[in-house]
Amino acid sequence: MHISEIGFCSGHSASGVWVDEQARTTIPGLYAVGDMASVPHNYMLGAFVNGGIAGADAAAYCAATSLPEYDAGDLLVEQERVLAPTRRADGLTPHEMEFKTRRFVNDYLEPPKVTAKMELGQRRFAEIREDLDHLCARDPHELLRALEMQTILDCADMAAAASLYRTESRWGFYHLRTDHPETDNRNWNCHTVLYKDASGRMAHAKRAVDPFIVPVAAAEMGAYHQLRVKTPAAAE
Amino acid sequence: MPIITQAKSAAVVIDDEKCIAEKGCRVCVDVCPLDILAIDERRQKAYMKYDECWYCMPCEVDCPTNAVKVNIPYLLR
Ligand SMILES: Cc1cc2nc3c(=O)[nH]c(=O)nc-3n(C[C@H](O)[C@H](O)[C@H](O)COP(=O)(O)OP(=O)(O)OC[C@H]3O[C@@H](n4cnc5c(N)ncnc54)[C@H](O)[C@@H]3O)c2cc1C
Ligand code: SF4
Ligand code: SF4
Repeated sequence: MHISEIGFCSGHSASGVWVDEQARTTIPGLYAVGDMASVPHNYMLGAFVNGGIAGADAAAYCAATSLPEYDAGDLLVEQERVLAPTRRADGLTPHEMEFKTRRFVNDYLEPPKVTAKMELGQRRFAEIREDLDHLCARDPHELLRALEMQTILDCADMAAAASLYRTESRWGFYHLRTDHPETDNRNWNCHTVLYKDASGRMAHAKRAVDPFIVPVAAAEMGAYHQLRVKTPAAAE
Repeated sequence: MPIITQAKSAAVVIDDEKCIAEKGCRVCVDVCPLDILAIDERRQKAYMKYDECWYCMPCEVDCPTNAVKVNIPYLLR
């Protein structure tokens, strides 16, 4: 895999794990910082500051919280999931499964985003997911890559689902939907949040945008809507 | 499905004459953030095991005997 591959996590796709100002996720005691959280447009200074704030808050949280009981069975299940690729002597390598996943992201999810293409992508991702039973790791390095590959597949699925949910175009080319080319502030001037519903399936919700801490002039807010991006003709 | 090994030219080259892995040195292996360098147990020399280099250079800079050379890979030259 090379440096030039499309990045579809966090700032580079205007997405990430939802956190508050102290880097708390919506799960008490679980924090997310830097690239994988909502530090926009991934950069190191942001990650360092974000990490410092999170560390201090997490230390305070730990000092005030005693370790809860946990289900040893859950732990075993997770251990087995993590180590499963090491139990196979042959099969598919992490490299080829990662490459295929990333290729599908490029082929099916890249803007301009086309509904039919993204749905096709979802089906292809599901096929890769079925192949995970063949994922094979012969040493610790390959196990690391095997685990990362599964996370990349999760991100690909989330990117497809979130892109399909937002039925408008926004942020210039970032979220240019061929079949929904207009920006729809009435319905979509909000965050969209992905979560797992009671049955463990991916579900969507809207979340209001908090008032800006630093006021931005109305003229500046329009910058993204004056990009000279050609809207391609609908492909479906 | 059986797994095959495909040959590639290594961008990170270790000078076996200079490498002192047999004395227990593991500096390049330890500093590589991508975990791609390893010690050949039979020869007791460091080598590039995985073709996943990011060309970040600490292996070359930190090697105590200057045994490591990170080359620009053929595909990027
Ligand atoms: C090519 C490139 C050039 C860049 N240039 C600059 C620049 O010039 N200036 C700048 O400010 N920023 C730059 N950036 C961005 C900057 O490097 C990142 O924003 C920053 O490093 C993010 O830090 P982080 O700690 O959030 O994430 P990372 O540094 O990515 O750390 C995440 C860590 O989590 C580990 N991990 C992942 N999954 C698991 C798991 N399941 N279990 C345990 N550990 C796990 C990973 O191994 C990794 O160590 C660049 C980025 C790239 C890719
Ligand atoms: S750091 Fe240099 S001497 Fe040490 S193992 Fe690596 S190549 Fe050999
Ligand atoms: S250049 Fe960086 S990634 Fe490549 S072998 Fe050296 S330390 Fe590892």
